Formats: sequence, C-alpha cells, structure tokens
Amino acid sequence: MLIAIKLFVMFAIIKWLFFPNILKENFDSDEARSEYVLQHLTKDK
Amino acid sequence: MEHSELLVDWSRAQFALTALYHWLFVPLTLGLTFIVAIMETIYVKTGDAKWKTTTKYWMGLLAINFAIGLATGIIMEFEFGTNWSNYSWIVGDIFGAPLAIEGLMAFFMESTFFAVMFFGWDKVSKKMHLLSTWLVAIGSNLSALWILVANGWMQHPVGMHFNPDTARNEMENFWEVFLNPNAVSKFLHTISSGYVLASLFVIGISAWYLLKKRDTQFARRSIIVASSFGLITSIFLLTTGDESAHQVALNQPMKLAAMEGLYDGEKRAGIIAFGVLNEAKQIGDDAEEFLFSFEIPGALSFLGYHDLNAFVPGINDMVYGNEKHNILSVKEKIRQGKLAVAALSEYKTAKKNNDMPTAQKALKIFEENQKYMGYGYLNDPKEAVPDISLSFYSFHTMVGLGTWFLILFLVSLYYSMTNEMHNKKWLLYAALFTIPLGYVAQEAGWIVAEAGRQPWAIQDLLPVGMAASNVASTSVMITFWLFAILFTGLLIAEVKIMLKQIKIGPEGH
Repeated sequence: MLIAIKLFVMFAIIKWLFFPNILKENFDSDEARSEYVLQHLTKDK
Repeated sequence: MEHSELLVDWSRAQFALTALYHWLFVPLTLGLTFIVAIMETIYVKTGDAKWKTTTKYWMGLLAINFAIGLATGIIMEFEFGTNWSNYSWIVGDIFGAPLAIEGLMAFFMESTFFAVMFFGWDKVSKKMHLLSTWLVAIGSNLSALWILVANGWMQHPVGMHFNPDTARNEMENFWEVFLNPNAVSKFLHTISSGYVLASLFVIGISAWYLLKKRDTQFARRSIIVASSFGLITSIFLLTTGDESAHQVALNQPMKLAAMEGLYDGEKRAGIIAFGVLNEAKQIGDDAEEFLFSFEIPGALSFLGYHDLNAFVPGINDMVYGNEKHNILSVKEKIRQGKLAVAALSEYKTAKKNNDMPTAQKALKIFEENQKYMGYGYLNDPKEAVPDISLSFYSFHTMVGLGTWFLILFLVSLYYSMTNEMHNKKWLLYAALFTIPLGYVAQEAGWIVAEAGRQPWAIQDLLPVGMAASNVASTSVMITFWLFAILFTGLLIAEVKIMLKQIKIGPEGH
C-alpha cells in the first residue's frame, strides 16, 4: 500500500506537475533538439 | 557559464539532495540482501529453526528499507529531463543502454524474486526460497552495476564518439563503456561499502539487544555472521578503494590533488593521515597548505601510481602547467577548448550553407581540439579546481571511518566467537553508535566522488554550467524544498517503523 501511494505521488503528481522533459515538450523532432543543443554549445560566451 | 550561477547551484543542490537521500536507503539493501541470504543458507544447511527466525527478522527490516527507499532514485531521472536536459541530450546514447539493461534485467529480476522472498516462505520449497533470496541479492547489486557504469563513464568518458551533427555522444564500443576501469572500480567499491554498512547495521542493532539483555543468542548469531561478512568485505573495500584512487590518479588528477590538499606536486608524495587545511591558502600563493598535519611519506605516490617514488601533480602544476612533467596548463586547455567550440560553430554554419570545404576544415580543427572542449566554457583557470576543503575532509572522513569499521569488525568477531561480547559494554555502545557513522562514511564517499570531479558533468568535455537547462531558478528552488520535505518524511517514517520492529524483536516478529 505504502509503495503504491509513493509511486502514485512520484509519477502522477511530482513528474507531471514539476518535471516536464524540456526538450521533448519544446521540440517536435530530434533534429530540432539537436539544433537547439548545438546552438547552446556554440553560443558566444 | 551559460546559465546564471544561481540556477546551476540550485540544480546541483537539488540533485545532490536527492542523490544523498537516495543513498541513505540503497547501501543497506545492497548489503542486507547478502546477509539474509547467508543466514538463510545456514538455516537450509542446518535445518535449525533459530536461523529461520534470525533470517526472517533481518528480512523484515530489509523489507521496510526496500519499501521506503524504492523509487527514490527515479526522481534523479526526472531531474535529468528537466534540470539537465542539455546533458541528457548529449549523453543520451551512452546512458540509454546501461539504464535500459538495468530496467529490463536487474530491476525485473530483483522485483520478481523480492515477492517470493517476502511472501513465499510457506508457498515454495526451502531451496526455491533460498534461490530467490540469493537472486534478490544478486539482482539488487546488478541494478547498482548499470547505474555505476553510467556514472563511471561521466568520470572517464570512453568508448564513444561525439557526433557534431546531432550534438550527441554515440556509443562506439559497448565493452569499452561496460569495462571502463573507472566504472568497474567504482562499482566494486560502492557495493562493498554497502556490505560494510549493512554489517554495521546488524552488529549495532544486535548490540542493542545485548545491552538490553534480551534475545542474546539471536544477537550473538547475527553478530558472528555480520562481523565475518563485514571483515571480509572491509578488506575487499580497502583493495577496491586502492584501485579507485589509482583510477582517479590516472584520469582525474585534479580530484586526487583536491582530495589530499596537494597544491605543489612532488615525488614520493605523502598521504595526510590527519590534518587541518589552511583556509587562507590560495592557488598559486606561497602560504602553507595545512595549519598542522601528520603525513605518511610516499603513500600518495603509491596509492595513486603504485610506485613510492612516482610524481603526483599538485593543483598548481595543473592550473599553471608543469613542463618538466609534461602537464598542460588549464590556460592552454581553455585555449584549445575555445578552438573546439569555435570550430563546432563554424562547422554548423558551413553545413547549413552547404559549404562543405569549410565544414571539413572546421571539423578537422574541432577533432584536433575536442579532447579539451569543456575547458572552452571556462573563463578562469581556477574554475577547473573543485572545492578543496569539501573534497579533502570528505575523503579523510571516509577513510578514517573505514579504518574504524575494520577494527570494530575484528574486535566484535573475536568477542562474539569467544562469547564475551555481551560483557563488553564499551564495545556494545561503540557498535550501536557506529551505525550512524556508517551512513556518514557512505555520504562522504559520494561527496568525494561527485564534488571532487567538479566543474565537470562529463570529465573535460562538459562543465555543469553547460549541462543545465535554462529553466526558472524559482521552480528548481520550489522542488528542492518539496523533496527536502518529502525525503525527510520518508526517512523519519523509515526510522520510526524500524525502531518499532526492533523493539518488538525477533520472537514477536
């Protein structure tokens, strides 16, 4: 019971409310994700 | 660095919090599964019902720890996708394989046989039950294997190739990743530390029963098994620690120097057996490293390079370079790193413009300087140095406590074999109060491993500042406190339930 409640809290509440997968949510394709990360890595500091 | 220091600090703090709390639960499971497997084996071999009672009692405490600790590690995977999305993308292919294997093989095996172990006492044969218990122990440890393969790769990235078109590290050789010496030594050192912790746990609780003069035969039996297991695994822990330090010396010399507070490299370098760092000491100045210290000459050279006369580079040698010993300065590495970053940028633009000659030229420059790419994101050579005090004191706390545990196992094994332990109150109290020290040593070990490798998320290739996502720091702060409350609640629940079970004792269990 304890395990079930804990897993529910972790996956259904914490993950859903607080932990979106940033790259998956913001980009539609792996190509777009690559482009974003490459841009991040090569931006002038 | 790319993101605000505040955001990176909170992201790191949150990861550290979840990792440290997770690690309060895991090592006990790793070790206690083997201890109950040994106890059950004695029961099956001898047919003595007292050993069944003993096994079931410790299995009950294992169940509490397993149930409460279960899935606390999953939070870290959530954090990868949110707070460390750039990192997750860059390492995706390398992390994917070990973690997928863990999910499919180890976790499945562990979970399936856990059910048989806990609920199958009267439902399956003795031998089948014993097999399940051993498979739970092996499965739990295999789970740790895959996680530590991934962690070992971050500390010593091998067997991969960075694809400049996708910004991902792609695995070239699974076996090189799997048999990465850093990962192997880290895995063996980590699991054996879990065995030591579980032994301390069993001895400490058994000592409490002896102090209370109840369940004394049960306590003596438990102490004999745990002291023997603890003694053997402590010796193994020493050897794996030696190999871990050797790997650190070869692949992360800055970490080794920070662990020992070694500013100026030397041949026949000593280990500080005991010392207090001079906090006013700065990199590059002439101030003394220690306010006072007691050193074992040559020991660091031997530990790091298995040669008493080997040169061990200090922090200054690595920051400013040392021509005599062929050590590049961080300044030079930053120069090469910036060349790599600029070349990657040029490659990307040229590819977009379909200018293949320029792209090829840029790619060549990138590949020539890629080894130090991560340094290209640093602005000051001193940024390449981890927190020296944190690394030094964590390392020495871990080693000092590890030495004490070895002595405790020896003494408690002797007195339990001679049936005198119940008369040695000082030893019983020492054993009881060593339980929390076991946890302190565990956490100190992780701090050495993770704080000591800063500023790197991936050694030399990606600093933590570049690995972090660009999210609002307030949301990271909120989830930090959320986890602090949640995990503290879980910890309190664990301690309360365990104390209740311990007070009930093996007979009432």
